[in-house]
Amino acid sequence: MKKISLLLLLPTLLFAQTKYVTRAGHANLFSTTVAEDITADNYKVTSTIDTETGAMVFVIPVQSFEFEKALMQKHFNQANFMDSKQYPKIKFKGNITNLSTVNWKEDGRYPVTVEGDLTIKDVTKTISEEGTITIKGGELSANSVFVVKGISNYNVGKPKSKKKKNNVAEDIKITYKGTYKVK
Amino acid sequence: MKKSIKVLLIAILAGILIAGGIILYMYNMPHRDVIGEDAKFNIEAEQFVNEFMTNTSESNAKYLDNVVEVSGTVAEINEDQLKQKVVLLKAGNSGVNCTFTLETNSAAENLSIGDKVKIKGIVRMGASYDEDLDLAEYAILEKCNITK
Repeated sequence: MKKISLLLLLPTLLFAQTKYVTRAGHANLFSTTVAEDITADNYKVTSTIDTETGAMVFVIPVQSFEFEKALMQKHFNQANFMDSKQYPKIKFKGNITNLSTVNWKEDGRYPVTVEGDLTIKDVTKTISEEGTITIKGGELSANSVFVVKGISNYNVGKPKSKKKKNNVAEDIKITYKGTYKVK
Repeated sequence: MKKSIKVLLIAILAGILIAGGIILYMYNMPHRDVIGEDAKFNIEAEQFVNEFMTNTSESNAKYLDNVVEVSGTVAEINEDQLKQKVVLLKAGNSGVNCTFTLETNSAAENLSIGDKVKIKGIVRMGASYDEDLDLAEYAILEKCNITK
């Protein structure tokens, strides 16, 4: 009987504490042009980190971005921009490429490179970005500042006429911070 | 000056002022007062989640960006990076995650796990199962307040 219960426990022991999750990550986006600076915050990012495989996944609810100006928020969600009713999520699915340099059991700050697929409005592009994994007293957090280049390639923010100038930059700076717990 | 020209000038000036006023108003348009808004739908957490799980696109069109009152049982109480209370109403494997505001936080402070509540808020995202996350994603309500 003891053996059986041990066997039953084995899978949970083997896979124990390899998957971390947050449902409250913070993403800030920043766009700057001659016309104006635009910034928005989102505190509803869901993300997972698998310490065994190095897989990282992010899901960002588009409608949770809050802008200082209500009008900007309205434009952001509109059909010709993010079309958030049709595409309510931004997704990134990738892997830590230098997984072996992270010691998940020891406190410290580990620089990581994450490569994977970013999907906005059903358009998927491969990106590779730098970030930091911080481990402190068994708590795991992830930080990154990176730039999504060529936002119009994701069918976002293309002005209707070519003559019209775009008020949104082609490159959007993203700042992310999330604190993870064992799933 | 002729009277008609005077009238015309005044009309143009008034036009410019009105247009300027509208642009200024649009630019400084106030944020939507979700807390003061009445719910468009009243629904059980269980049914709300099921609708998104079984018919995603229809439910997105129906609920996203609308104020909804959801009734359910408190399963978790957390706090986000802004110190806003986040109350989870469990529904099957998923749930409805309700984020309060600094103004309405006090209403959530008196809650305990297992309490039956009605929470009103704006729908930002529906519930789903995400294969990549390998998680049930909760439906997201923000600017929440307790209605009962």
